[in-house]
Amino acid sequence: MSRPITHRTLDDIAREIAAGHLSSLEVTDACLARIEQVAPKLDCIADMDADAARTAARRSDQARRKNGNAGPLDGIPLAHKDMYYRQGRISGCGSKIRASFVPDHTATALQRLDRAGALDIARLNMVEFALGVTGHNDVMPTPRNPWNTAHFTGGSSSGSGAAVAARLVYGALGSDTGGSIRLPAACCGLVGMKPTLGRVSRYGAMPLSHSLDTVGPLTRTVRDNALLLGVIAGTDGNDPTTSPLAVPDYLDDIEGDIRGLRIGVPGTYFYDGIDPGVEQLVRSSLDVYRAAGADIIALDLPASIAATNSMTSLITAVEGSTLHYEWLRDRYDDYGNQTRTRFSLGLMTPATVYHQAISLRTKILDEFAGAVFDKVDVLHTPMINLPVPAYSPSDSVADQAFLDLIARIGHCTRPINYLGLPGLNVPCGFTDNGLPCSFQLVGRPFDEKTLYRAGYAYEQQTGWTDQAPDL
Amino acid sequence: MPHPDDTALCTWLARFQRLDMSESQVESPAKTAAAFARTIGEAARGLSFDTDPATFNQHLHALAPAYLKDGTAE
Repeated sequence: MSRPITHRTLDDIAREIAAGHLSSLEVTDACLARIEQVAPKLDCIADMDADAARTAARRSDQARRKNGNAGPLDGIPLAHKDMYYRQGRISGCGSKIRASFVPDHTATALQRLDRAGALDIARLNMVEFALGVTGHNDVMPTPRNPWNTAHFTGGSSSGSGAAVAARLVYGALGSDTGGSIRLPAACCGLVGMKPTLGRVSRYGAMPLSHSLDTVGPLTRTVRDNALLLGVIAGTDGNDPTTSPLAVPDYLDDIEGDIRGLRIGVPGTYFYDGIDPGVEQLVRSSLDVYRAAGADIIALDLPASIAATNSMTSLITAVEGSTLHYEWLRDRYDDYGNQTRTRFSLGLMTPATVYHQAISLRTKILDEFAGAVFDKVDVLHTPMINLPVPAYSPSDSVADQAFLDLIARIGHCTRPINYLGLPGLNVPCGFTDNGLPCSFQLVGRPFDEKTLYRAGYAYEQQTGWTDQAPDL
Repeated sequence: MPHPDDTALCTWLARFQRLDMSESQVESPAKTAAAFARTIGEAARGLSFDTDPATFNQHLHALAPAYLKDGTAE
């Protein structure tokens, strides 16, 4: 029996619309009905105009009948983290302070999705100003995990994780400064790509940390993710930090053989303090690769990797508090407790320490690249080293235990932001509490393509991404 | 020289910023800032600071052709 429209993949729906088997209006209506049924349980929608979504879908159908397919995402309903600016539409950034902010320009990533024919049907809730890894938001609704609404979605792209996992839309943009795409993807059983720094334009995306911010997609499958990244990636005159390197066709050879692919497994750092159940699932995924003919190679990482978690947090706090300086002074009470505490850390950090953290970056990347990519094609690591926790009343406290928890949750993600490298979240099963578990694939600079090929090979062998939460 | 775990300094900073923070709220970030400073100091051991941090993006670009053998970086 065929799956409900909402439960098919982005790639399948794109083919069905292009072939005329489904209209964009039929697909959009299915998504809107699903949203009406499920979204109230999840608190993931910040705002949605159903009539406007249907009007956009009808226009898409009319244009396709007249002119043919507009692009690879023609007629597909998507929704995005509420920090991507669209001219004339509120972008609240998960905050009280920007709750009525109306930007005068549109993010490059949104423009590229528009040109590819995608519909943008909702704004998705997020962690306040994208500063948080659990998904908790003190001042706006906190999205719930579709696999168990008592648990974290992960953050900061919390609404993106919940909405895509719940089959409300086929994909969503998130942003990743210290793990904010990969962590909600991991907690919600999705595929999430943090691209290489400079691969995707940040123009029109709310800034948090100019040294670390990246833009990327959360989707249900690896192929869907490659499709979305291919649309949004590439140089942009409005963002001088984007790379001029050509964007490869990520779908070309995604089904390619992985025999002989060299996969590195770190002997240090990434497995420190890991929960035994999580470790068992993550290491089992290596058996799948081994059986597929990949070479699994043990690696020693340079000791400097251990400092990168702290330095990522520090850089984020300093650059973020600089951006928020005026509001921290004038609108302190409008921030949530955890957000202002973490920004305050930036205010208290000596400039010399910040500059050390920035200055060490190139050196540590060189050490890491030599230790890893001179020997293997891809590094395989855990993503979160504990089962997805439940929310608790203590989540709004900003004490040392909270700071320790976010350091633990970001243990495997933040180093990859510090190094500027691409990282892909791939689901690999469920822990004893019934929540998803994932591993991370880390690639060479601008080599997202190999990560997709490796992620796809695993996905085809296991089928974890076919599973949907029962809502 | 003041140290970032000096609570009095942090309280002074908070007041300077007009942030009405209690000392208990100040304590955690201050401790964490001090821990960061120590961590970074350890990481810096054996490494020289001869790189302009503004070149990090260019450095990623420079690494790509060396590692991407299939032409995608060209």
